[in-house]
Amino acid sequence: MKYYSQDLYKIARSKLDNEYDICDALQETMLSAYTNLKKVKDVEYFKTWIIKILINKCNDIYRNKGNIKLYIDIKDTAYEYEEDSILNLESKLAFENIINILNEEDRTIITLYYNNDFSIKQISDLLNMNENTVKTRLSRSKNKIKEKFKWR
Amino acid sequence: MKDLNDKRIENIIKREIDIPESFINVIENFGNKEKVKIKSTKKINKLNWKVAVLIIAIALPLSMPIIANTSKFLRNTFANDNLGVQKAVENNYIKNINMEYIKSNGLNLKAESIIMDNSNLNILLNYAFDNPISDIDNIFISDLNIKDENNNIIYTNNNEKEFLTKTVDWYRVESIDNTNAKQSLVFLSNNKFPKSKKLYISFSKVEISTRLFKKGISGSWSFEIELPEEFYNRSDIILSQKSESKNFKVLKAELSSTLLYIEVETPILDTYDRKYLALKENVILKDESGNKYEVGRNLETEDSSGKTILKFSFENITKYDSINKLYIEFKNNDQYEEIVLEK
Repeated sequence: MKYYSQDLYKIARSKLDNEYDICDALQETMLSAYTNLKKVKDVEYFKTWIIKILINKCNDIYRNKGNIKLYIDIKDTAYEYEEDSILNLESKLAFENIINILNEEDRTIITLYYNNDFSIKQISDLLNMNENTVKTRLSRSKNKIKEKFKWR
Repeated sequence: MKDLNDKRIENIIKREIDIPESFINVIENFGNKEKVKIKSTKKINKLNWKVAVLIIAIALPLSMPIIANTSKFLRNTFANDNLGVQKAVENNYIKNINMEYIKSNGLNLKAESIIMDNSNLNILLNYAFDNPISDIDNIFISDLNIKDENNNIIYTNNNEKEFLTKTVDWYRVESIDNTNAKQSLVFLSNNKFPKSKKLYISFSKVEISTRLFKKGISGSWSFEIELPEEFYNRSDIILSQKSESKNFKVLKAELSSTLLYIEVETPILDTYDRKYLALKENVILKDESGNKYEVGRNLETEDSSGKTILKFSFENITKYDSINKLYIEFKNNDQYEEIVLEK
């Protein structure tokens, strides 16, 4: 499991803002995975399976806490970026900078697509979302990121 | 095919990040079942699970027909899970469109129904195929453009242009038979959709996915929809703040056909307070009869001139609810404030 810690943390972080909630979600995921481990017949699918559980656990926590999206204003940070050259800027950017621009649903799509290399179809299955909605959101998110960091 | 920007995003997102120690601890300590039991915060009730399974086993078959009918109704009225849109439909705030099919390259389509107000634009499309297609999973219009008579761009896939839609949801296709399918497109506005009299819709690329294959169809589909007067002459019910509040000043409270939109100004909020107020249970709306309404899916915060503006909507209360007075309660840091809103 430790091997997947980066992947699991990024997915949980894309859905939840609070460190305690993220840990709760992981703990619930591990508990559920542990009790249902026999259901995984093919090791190849273990990672997808555990990500699916994690997303569901995050959704439970998110729903219990309120399904309201919180947009964090990052204008000040963006201003600092303008002072930098594009290359410098890219080397300074991190996961947090990207997801802070996006809302909760788009963050998870972006994370699954770019970090975990899932296809549109896989994401649509994981998030129980229409493939077209995934495509549209992915494209909107990409453009938001492009605009924010003034990429061409 | 990934382009340069895809690669840039991928590089950034794949970079290793510092993971909090608490997260690593959860993984490392998992073997210790005692800890798992103590630390688990899941708020499942303590009902014996066998009883719970029994209740579900009894209740589920009874509730199935109701669930099936409701979801079909929601799909057909293209309100989906939006109670506000559903209320608008029930109050005849909907236009059923009478138009001929637009035919191109074996794919014929027409718009069947539409709703447009400040926040929502829902369009129900009806597709007819010259050659039967089985098991349609998805239909996606990749170059959809919608504008109005004043050239306001409601939606476009051309990302170089500014447009007025915040999100668009493509709902699952409902196949009627092998040659007919329906699909609801739901657009949510960035701020407010204009009071358009006519919408011009055009596109040339449609992608159809079935369980077995994906098929792209190129053609030319363009049509216009005349909107009824009740859409473009729509007026909201404006509510105003009738009570003093130390920390909250209502800037806008508008009841539209599909929701209640509220903007509130507060002294500048720090991240903790923002998160606290973003919790559903900390912003409660009540009417005179004591009915409670939950905040809908949007809450945005914006800082301006030393103030924080909270913007949120309640999708289960609309102008059809005959509201005269509302009470909105804010809980913040164990402080509690109530604001009275009146027509």
